Amino acid sequence: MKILFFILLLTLLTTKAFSIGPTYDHYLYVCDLGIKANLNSTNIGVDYIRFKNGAKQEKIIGSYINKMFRGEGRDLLKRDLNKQLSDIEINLASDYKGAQFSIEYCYHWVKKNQSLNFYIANIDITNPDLLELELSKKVSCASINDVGVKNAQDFTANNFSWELGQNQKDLFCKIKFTYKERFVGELRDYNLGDLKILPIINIGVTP
Amino acid sequence: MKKISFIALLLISQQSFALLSNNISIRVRSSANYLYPCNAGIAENKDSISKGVDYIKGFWQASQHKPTAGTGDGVAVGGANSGNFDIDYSILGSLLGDGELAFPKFNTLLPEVSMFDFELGGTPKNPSQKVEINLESDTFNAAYFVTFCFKPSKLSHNDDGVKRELIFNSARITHSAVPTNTKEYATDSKLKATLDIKCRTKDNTITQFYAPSGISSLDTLLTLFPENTSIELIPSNGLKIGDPSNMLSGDFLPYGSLPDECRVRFYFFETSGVLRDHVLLESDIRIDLDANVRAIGQ
Repeated sequence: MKILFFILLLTLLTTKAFSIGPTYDHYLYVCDLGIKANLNSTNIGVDYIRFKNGAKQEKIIGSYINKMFRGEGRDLLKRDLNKQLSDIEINLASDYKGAQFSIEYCYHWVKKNQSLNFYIANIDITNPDLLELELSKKVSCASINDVGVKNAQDFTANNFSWELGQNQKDLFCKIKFTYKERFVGELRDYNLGDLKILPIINIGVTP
Repeated sequence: MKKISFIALLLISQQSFALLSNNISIRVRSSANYLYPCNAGIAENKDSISKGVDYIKGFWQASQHKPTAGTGDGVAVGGANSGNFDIDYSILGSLLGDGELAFPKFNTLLPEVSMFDFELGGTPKNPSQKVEINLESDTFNAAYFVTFCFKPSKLSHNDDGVKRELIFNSARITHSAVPTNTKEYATDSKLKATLDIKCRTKDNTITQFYAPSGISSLDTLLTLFPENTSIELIPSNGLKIGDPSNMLSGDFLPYGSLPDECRVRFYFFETSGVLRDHVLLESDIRIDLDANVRAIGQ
């Protein structure tokens, strides 16, 4: 009896091909970063983002000339878990407050079999209030069905479920957080300000 | 047996429909460059017949560089043969000591070694306080200076990933006489001005001296500064720290690195030497200094 039980248990735990329910791949990762300095500043230092792209150290500078989100459009997609962006540091050395920076997360879900046709995407976002930073958020999702028809939608809530259409095989969501320094135009202190921000995203797809 | 099998299936089911969570925390660091008035000094021409007291009166508070430094106020008195402070680079020193203008030493409000710890009155947080320069000597032979201190953002000290440069874009002096004046101080005293910049690394291994243009004579060094005018002491393209064209002496900073501190000193010299008026002459001298730190290549 015991032998029979262990054989059955081992089979169930090690053989995905025979597991019940659909299988899929999904990834959540930082896929874009951006920064710009205070547009009204006449005497600005350097605002920049420093991050690790895999093992490589990189930076994006919000310069006084470009004054735009230089990270937008950059292909920082890193689904490879070993090459994801990490150690992200926002460094603000401009003389006046009002810098903006953005952090965009991407979620990609790909169905691997056809056993179920209807799925629900569930997203729950928690972002602590910060005295120094004003936050805006943009969530956009798009799914594609078996015959390539796209279904896209934007969301404003922090917690929602989205019923995907029939026979969806691919879901891609972008969750972009844009932080803007409060007290725009005030002189920034020379003394070091150091805080950590951690927007919490829980995301997944269930049948 | 059925019960155990069910648990095993449930484990697989949960694994298949897991929620993903992000676990990357983002660090936000903030520190501005810091430019602030930090000292003033006064001297008298040792060859003059000056008598009477010339002095600077000032209030200071702890700078952001050293928030625990406290507040204070005091005076610095100019004297023909006294002083605690030499002009500290050779070209200006030799020019001013050549017999035409001989200011042997300046007395300062704060010691040079600790001036970075203090911010003089008249700051944005305390605008009512001004540095007062009181001149009672018999002849227009006094000299005085106001020093600005610069500390680059603390972020630049521990990140060599971003190459930066420091440029002093503008150093403007505006002289405004009080409207009730019947005499003109700057004109009568033939007030002249100049500035020099000294930057260095923390351990003094690299020190650089700058002036607005190559200095070869006193005439080009000092700009006449009559009543109710503004003068700009820095060329229109700015004065870039690290650029050899404006550097007077010292070693070179590595390309793309900032000094740990700079001081910008605005000198004012009375050069007419004639008898000072008894009539009270009041003037406002406003100094605007503009510096940029920017990423190289941006």
